[in-house]
Amino acid sequence: MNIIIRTENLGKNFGKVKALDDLNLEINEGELYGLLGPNGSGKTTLLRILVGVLLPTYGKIQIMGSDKPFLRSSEIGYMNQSESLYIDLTVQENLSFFGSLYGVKKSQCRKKVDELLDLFKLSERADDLVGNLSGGTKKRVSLACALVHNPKLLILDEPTVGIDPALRISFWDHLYQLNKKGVTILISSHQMDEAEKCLRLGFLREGKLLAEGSPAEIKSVTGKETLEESFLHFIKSNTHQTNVI
Amino acid sequence: MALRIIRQFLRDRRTLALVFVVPVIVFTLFGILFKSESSDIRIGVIDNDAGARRTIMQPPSGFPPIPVMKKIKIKVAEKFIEALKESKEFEILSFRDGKPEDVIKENGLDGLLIFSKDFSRDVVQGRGLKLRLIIEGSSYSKKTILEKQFDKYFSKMTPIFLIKDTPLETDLPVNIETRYIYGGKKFTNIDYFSPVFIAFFVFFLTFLLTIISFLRERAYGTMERLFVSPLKKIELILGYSLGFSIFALAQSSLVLLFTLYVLQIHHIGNIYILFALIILLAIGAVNMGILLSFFAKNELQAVQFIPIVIVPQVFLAGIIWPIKDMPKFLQPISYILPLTYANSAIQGVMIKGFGLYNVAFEISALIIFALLMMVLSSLVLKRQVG
Repeated sequence: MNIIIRTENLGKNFGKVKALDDLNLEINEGELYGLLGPNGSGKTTLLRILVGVLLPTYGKIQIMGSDKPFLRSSEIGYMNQSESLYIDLTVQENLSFFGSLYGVKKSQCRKKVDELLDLFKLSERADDLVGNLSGGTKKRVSLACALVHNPKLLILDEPTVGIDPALRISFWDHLYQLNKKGVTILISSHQMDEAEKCLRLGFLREGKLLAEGSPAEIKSVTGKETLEESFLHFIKSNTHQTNVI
Repeated sequence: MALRIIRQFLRDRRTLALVFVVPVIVFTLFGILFKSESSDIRIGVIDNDAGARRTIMQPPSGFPPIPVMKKIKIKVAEKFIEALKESKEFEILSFRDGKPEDVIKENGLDGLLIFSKDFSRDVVQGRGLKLRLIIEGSSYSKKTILEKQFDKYFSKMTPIFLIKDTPLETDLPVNIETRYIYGGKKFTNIDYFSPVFIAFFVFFLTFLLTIISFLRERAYGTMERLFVSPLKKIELILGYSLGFSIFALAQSSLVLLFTLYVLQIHHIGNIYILFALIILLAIGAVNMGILLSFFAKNELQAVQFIPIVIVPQVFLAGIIWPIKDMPKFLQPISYILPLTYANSAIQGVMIKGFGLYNVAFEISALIIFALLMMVLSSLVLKRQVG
């Protein structure tokens, strides 16, 4: 199996704060990997380093075989916590713009945009200014913008924050579909119920990877019934060893 | 409520500086520049007067006391020139005969008075004061003074030229034949100032819009999305430059059309050069906006740059006062401002009808400014933080 993301002794300090502490991570091609952890655990920091907008303090990364994410940018789709959309452009214009940024040819772009509008049920809102949309709708547009160029790797930072349960289910449906088609997905969250849906999980706390494995494996190792309890278990115990299963 | 506002702004040092320090600086500039407004108008004089003969009566002297008629030669032009020099209203320089345009250009004159060889003769024979006045015409204030002053001036001066005991006709008509090298009698202040304001608006608005646009990219997170994409830094900079240049062109075309057809200002220059100047200025302004956006955290701070970037250029770029008339210690500042060069070039083209060759220096200066800003902004724009 191809390792699509790898970090080696990765560390990031913001002044005295250790946002990431000697992190070693490996994500395989085609995985649906959930990065879990409380606020401030370093999830966003890690993701930003992986997409190339933040420089690590020490350590190495490798994305699709390259240590410079920018060189693989056309194959990575990224969605950050703030919606990152142009509020004075319409939904359609935002999608087309990001398509053009990634070099999607005009003819293909049109098709893809229509496809995405349909998929995310945005067709009716295609000509609405993004600034006028609700939070949940904006998130849908944001995710669509991350997909315009058919990326092989999707990196999503807490994409479902502030979204109602119904929408969340449809989100995950889309993610499953993409994953089935072979897209690797790295998604961060601090909601444990979403963790259940991932193939593999990594628990992050204070910049360290506490545990890693499938939901079932984590639960069996900790002897808990829910992932939430398992997570709390990891926080309470002082082990810093990653239990790789 | 009032207290809260005061608290908020006390923390923001830059806004405090804006509110208190800037007006002081502006009024200081006002004081300096308005006081030194008495510009020295340089006028050349060419005296070709051959003089004239006049019979005068000499007072009786000796014995027997018989008045004697004597013929003397008088040169009226000389007297005029002397009086002009003494009045110290203008800087008067004498020259030998030559082609007026050349004399004016080579010596940086604002005007040239030519007394023909028949000047004295015309005076003595009562025909009038006939002079030629060549006005350089590129400075509005100077040409206005020259136009209006000289007529009055000469008719007032005539009585002075009574040669002591020989009365001259005191009611001589004054006939000044005026010619312009640049501009003309019909050129009003709109003709002089509107092209300059086009440049000013282009610069100001392009700069402001860019800096705010960039700040919004950062605020709304779209900048991060841009950097995650395959977009290269240079493409970002060029994209912004191109986009805003198009706006600048559209805006200035509209203004130009308006001033030319609605206000009907005069122009004699090549409009395409004007557009080229505007594009260069816009590119410089865009990149300056990108550069300064990194020193502002929000739109309020961006607006704080206006007094620093815009106001000095209004005063020091030669829009209102010509640079050579400004106090010496302020002049070097003018030379680093892009608008100084843009204005010089635009006025050259619109009023003097200069071609590309004549404004090559200014165009180079603007190119250098644009390139410098582009380099600086690409250094400041970092894909990766930390």
